[in-house]
Amino acid sequence: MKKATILILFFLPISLWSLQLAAQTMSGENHLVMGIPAIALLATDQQDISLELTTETPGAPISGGTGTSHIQISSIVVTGTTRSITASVVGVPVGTTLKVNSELPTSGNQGGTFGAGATEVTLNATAAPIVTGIGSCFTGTASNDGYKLTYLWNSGSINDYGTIIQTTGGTATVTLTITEDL
Amino acid sequence: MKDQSIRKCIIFILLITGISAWSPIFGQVLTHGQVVDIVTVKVDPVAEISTNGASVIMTLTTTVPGQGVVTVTNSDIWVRITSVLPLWFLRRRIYARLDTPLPPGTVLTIKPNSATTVHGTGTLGTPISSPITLNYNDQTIVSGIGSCSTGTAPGDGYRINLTWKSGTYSQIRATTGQTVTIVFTISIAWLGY
Repeated sequence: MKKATILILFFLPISLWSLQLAAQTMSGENHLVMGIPAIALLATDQQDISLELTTETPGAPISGGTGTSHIQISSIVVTGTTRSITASVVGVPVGTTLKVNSELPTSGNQGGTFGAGATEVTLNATAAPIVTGIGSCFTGTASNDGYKLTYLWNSGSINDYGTIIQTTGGTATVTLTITEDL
Repeated sequence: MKDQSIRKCIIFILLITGISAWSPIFGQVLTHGQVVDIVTVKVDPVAEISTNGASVIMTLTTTVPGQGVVTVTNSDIWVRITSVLPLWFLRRRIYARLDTPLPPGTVLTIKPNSATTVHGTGTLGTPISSPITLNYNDQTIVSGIGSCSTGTAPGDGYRINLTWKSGTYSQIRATTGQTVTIVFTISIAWLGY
């Protein structure tokens, strides 16, 4: 009788388990169409930067024109592609050179693949890359978010020093562009 | 003696199983003591589930330089069920899982509302209290479902709230109209689960 009880205790759960299986598991489904368009948005903090070249040391060339700004971007790339930010300039006074350093975002409001910055890229009328290898990323939108650009304005080639003339309030315009790498 | 015990035991199990699985109600209809009809009524366990088949189109994007793609939500999907329990101490659950990959670098979360009661009746269960992230594994989204039906009209059932957002941002890639399938399953569970 004891064995019979054990058998009952053993088989009863199995019987109930078989009921569970008999009780059906059914599924239904729903389809979602999910899209992410390619995005390439760029803005600067749009602050005018005042630079001045001068010297107080007799015998020294004029120097010292530096200023900073930030570039903010949103980028979603297509698989297998990257982007670059290029810069060009018009309006740089004769005999002088404008260069730029670019640093990757560090404010903490950013995410993604930011690529690589560059050091002392000489700007002229032809667009030159200042950040390369950008993937999908965003830099943040607050005032100090984004790639930090440091402009370095100095006298140019020694041979051109003689062409420098005094100027007040001249405007140079730097054009920044985010482009797909080919 | 042993054989008798085992035989009794087997009969007992078959009896229990038979009664539990198939619980007919026998009734007799008598008309002037002349004719006797036996009416057998049987209620089978039922577990049916469907959605409203909503056409859901979601787009993850931004128009502000410097901003990440903006989280999107959708509540167009409704899940409907009919449940008849085989035994009083059992309950059912609704599970959800992905059947196809999400666009890389993104996350899809799900949180159902309680079933509506306009046409819904019975023990409709309890939805999860916080959103869960969908993956390829079945995860409970409603538990404690007894015998019930949600109704079949528009606005009947469990409204499904989906939230799609960026995850690992560097993995996000532009994609046009990737179709993602969510599978909803109803299955059995013990009471209290």
